[in-house]
Amino acid sequence: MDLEAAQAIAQGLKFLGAGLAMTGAIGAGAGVGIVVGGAVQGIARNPDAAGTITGNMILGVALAEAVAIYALVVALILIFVA
Amino acid sequence: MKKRYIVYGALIVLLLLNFIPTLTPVLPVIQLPGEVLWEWAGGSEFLGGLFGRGFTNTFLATLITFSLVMIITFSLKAKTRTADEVPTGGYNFFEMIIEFAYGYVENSAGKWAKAFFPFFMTFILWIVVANWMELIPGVDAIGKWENIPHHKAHLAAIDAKEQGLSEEEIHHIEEEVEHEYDAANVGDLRQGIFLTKAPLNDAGEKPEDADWTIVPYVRAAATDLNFTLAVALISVVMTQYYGMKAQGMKYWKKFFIWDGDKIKQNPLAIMDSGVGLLEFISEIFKIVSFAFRLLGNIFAGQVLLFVIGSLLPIANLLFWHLEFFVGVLQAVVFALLTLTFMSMATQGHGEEH
Repeated sequence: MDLEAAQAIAQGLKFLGAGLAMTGAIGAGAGVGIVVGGAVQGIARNPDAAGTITGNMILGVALAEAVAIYALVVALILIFVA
Repeated sequence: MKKRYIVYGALIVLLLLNFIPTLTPVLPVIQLPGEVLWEWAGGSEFLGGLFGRGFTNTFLATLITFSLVMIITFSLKAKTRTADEVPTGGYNFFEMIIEFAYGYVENSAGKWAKAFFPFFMTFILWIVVANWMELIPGVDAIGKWENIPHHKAHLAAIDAKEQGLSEEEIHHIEEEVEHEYDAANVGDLRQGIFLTKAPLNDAGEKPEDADWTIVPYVRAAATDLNFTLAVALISVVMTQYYGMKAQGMKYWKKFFIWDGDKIKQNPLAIMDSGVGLLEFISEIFKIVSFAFRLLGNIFAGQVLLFVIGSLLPIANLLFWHLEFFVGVLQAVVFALLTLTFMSMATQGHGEEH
């Protein structure tokens, strides 16, 4: 196999790896859904606490989203750096 | 003529402009490290190798962010001398934010609020200004015009020079890379007033792709791992500092647990050392987590704006607002998490509720 074909295969595998890395975002979707579900239930039980609950919900969403961002960073490193 | 019809008309014109092939925006260069605008005199060896290859566009953005934050804070401070009883305008806005934030910090930290509040507010201001800079028209859009094959060849030549190859080999690699990217394209400057006419390539045909790209002069600061890693290090190191200040050297007992009496009673208590070790690793991971959360969000947002902007610019009306929201959210999350960890560090590990 000559060098060019090998390099082309390597490049293609990198992109495939980047696509596979993003399957980590499934967990983030489920996690954010659970957080917001809990928040909505909390507000339904106690509408006066809506402000506090919403504030904590935003924090929870950002933390759950962070794991998807780690997966995205791995994908971006695969595409652009290596 | 009602204003709204003018706006509709402008939107439709912008949408139609997108279908004229040569008038769509160009995709800027996308790479994870900051792009070097002006190289240092000695290359990578400048001042001991700690300053990278040159003056990057993210560093320029950091300097601009710094001056903006300084201007905001010092102009607010100057206003406190001549303040009215009832504040108005921008001063009122900031006073509202700071009061709200200080109330929150007091709630969370108790008597350490005066020590933690500067970190909280600084992280918010610093990161919000850094993130919102990528939304200003002109940032990420005004830059050095680069011809894609030449640019890639230049980068390959620099890599080769770092590896210490000879002049001839460098030249050979440059030519090879340039040819690789130049297959269907012309590789030369477009002509005409609006730079829309492309000269025909060697085979006498019109080139297929855009053969040019932009290296932006200013690129949002948080897209550079150096920036986010620096802020993350400050946050975690100061947490340890305040932990030690509150509890003395007993603070380290959180991580290195070895209770002789408890082990004699029940040998399985050695597991506690494992828990302590996990806590220690978790602390180190916090640096990585902070850095990559901020980097990933802002870099992904920037790539999104670039790519959608070069494919269908009108859709950037939507993604611009997404980036606006994400910028504020990530800054607030960073500051809140720092505050939480600092409060946990000063409150002690073994206190029972």
